[in-house]
Amino acid sequence: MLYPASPHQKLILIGLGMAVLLLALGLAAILALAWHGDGDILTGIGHRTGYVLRSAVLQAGLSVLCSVAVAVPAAVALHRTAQWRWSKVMEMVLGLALVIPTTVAAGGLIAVWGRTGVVARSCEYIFADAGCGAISIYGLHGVILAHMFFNVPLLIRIFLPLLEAIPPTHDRLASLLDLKGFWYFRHVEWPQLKSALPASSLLVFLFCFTSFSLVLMLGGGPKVTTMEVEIYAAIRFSFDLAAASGLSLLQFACAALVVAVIALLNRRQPVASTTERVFASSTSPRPVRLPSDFTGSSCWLITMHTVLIVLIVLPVLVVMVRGLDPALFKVIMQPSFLKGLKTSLGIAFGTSLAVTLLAFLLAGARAGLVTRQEMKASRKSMALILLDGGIMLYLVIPAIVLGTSAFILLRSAGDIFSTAWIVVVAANTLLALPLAIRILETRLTRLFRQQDRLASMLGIDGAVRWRLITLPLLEREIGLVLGLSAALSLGDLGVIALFASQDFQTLPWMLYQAAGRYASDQAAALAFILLGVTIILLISGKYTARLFRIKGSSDA
Amino acid sequence: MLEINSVFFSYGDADEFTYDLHVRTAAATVIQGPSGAGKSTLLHLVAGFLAPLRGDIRWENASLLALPPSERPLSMLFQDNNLFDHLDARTNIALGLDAGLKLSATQKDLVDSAMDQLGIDGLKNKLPPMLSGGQQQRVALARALVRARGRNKPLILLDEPFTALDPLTRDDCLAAVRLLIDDFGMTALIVSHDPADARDLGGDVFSLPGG
Repeated sequence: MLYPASPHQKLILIGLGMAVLLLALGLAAILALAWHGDGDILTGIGHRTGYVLRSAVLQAGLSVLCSVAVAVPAAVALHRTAQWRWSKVMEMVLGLALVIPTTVAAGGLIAVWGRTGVVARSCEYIFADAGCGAISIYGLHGVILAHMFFNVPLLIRIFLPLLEAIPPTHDRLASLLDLKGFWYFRHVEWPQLKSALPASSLLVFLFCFTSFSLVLMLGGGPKVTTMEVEIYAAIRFSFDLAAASGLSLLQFACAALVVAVIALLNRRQPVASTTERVFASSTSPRPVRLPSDFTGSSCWLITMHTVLIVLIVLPVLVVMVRGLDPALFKVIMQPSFLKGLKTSLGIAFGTSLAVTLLAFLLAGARAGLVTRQEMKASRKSMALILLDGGIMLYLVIPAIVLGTSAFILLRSAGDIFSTAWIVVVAANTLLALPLAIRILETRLTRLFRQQDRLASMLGIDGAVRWRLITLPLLEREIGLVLGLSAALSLGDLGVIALFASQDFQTLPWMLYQAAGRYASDQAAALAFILLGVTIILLISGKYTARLFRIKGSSDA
Repeated sequence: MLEINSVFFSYGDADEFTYDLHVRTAAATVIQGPSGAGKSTLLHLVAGFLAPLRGDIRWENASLLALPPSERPLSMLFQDNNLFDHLDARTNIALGLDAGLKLSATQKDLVDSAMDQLGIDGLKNKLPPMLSGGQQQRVALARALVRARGRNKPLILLDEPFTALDPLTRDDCLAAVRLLIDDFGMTALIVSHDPADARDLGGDVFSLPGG
């Protein structure tokens, strides 16, 4: 043998085995859809499908344009005002906005822009004109506004590290040339952002194109729709499984196409790397620069901050303020609420544990393969391609497609609703997996690279190695994965929408129904609680990961 | 004596390396040569991170080839990443004696006396990121010392260990290496591109031809 075996041989084998399972499961899900159509896939794709596709593309395209149009100047403004204390607060809120349940965000937006919302009320107060109340949030503009709520923060988190990476020599050159304000943007900042724009815009397009909850809650009727909403309607309302499976297949093909283009755009990096950058950047402290020489007029800086406040901070604030209402106690006292809370927390905990465990094994296997390959200086191996395939597949399968497939498979197997919570946990796990793996994998690869030789010289291996030198250094990433996956699955509406029943409800589902009944007190209370639980889950993920800490002293 | 007998190695491309040398015990042997000559490759072959395609590596007349790195009679000092950043200096040294950190009283004494001898006993509870580059390397040298005394690993391989240090700190570290050789009879195999290292250590010099 040319090289001694990798110290991660076992992990690699386990990871590869799991990747094969994931691939098989994903393919089975797709095949189940195709098979169910029984060759009649096309029956589901009727005359309305063309309209749905056009509507979704228009909506997603406009969402991308609006999000980019705000995110680019906002990122520049945030970067130029990095020394403001307020900017730190802003970045925190932006981070939170990324993981807020969609139902909560929709609730917040309705409370700000809706008929009796903050904007309409203050408008009436200022102009003493009741006509302002006629503005409606429901419709295409509402959906776009909601998509901006999530995607402007996402884009900003992609752009900020790029701006921070501007080399100091550029700054010196710029001050020699007296480039300020707009010209500094034109010649220094814009070239930095330009390269990331196509891939990140497409990522946003994918999110908006496959959007479900926000379109459902804010679309305001059948005019504004996406494939996800159509699939949901086919299953829940007309119970047309053939149509649902046909639409799911089509949606899978569309998503796969977009992901393929993204992959082509950043060929050098894996597709998920854009998302990875978003969350990974929060785990490592960033260098602070003071580009105060180039800020330009403070007028537009304040304008951009105001735009962000109205667009993102205000809805979050309103959820907090409106939730603190006597109605909160009434909602909490209801037995259905307690049951929903228990179900939601169960799903969040189950998903969080499953995601962390699976992501850990898969990320470990990938890191092991990558470092082994580096030592051999060989090309991308078949094993790595297989592993990436298993991971990436779930980036391409939208939540509702996975749910539909599970629904169809389980229906033929028997009672759907008794196994519903397992399916919801499983689907949420698979959906959070690609992101979780990216977060862990970057750090694990670096750790393996640093530690492998030293550890094998000292004979530290197996469980001892994990306990002593790997897990303690992985604490932040594990905490992030635990918290993120719990928060994301807590907020899920896409999977639960297919499986919810009288006996099986989660908080987002209850919130969605309350909003649909225009029970705004109840909706506000639920949104407040969901927001609180999301924050608690994020923080408790961080503290749970401290279990892996070991005492740094040698009293052993 | 460490014998490297007609060891042949190749990374699979044009680069091919053949080594033939004998290293005296209780002395320093400095490997010199231009970059690409395979200096580090030689150390990785001896340590067991790479396996030779032909030839044999023997210590005290027994072949090392079948042994994994941790069972070979040696310690290795890399250019960096010699310590685990989340463990304090003393724990990092203790890891050299027992991977599970279950140390007997004699072993603990060994750790403390090694820190004494290398002049780093004031750094016991310090984490590596708080230490200077020279201090970090001396902690790693102390670990090599306890492994030599407590686990019978008298050979130490050093891969350009002091290149990144300033001249004064480098002198301190070289003195520490001399101490390991003179007072504890350790055998050092050092890769360096700096002729001054060979001169200051006063050991044998072995030059690899350009690669």
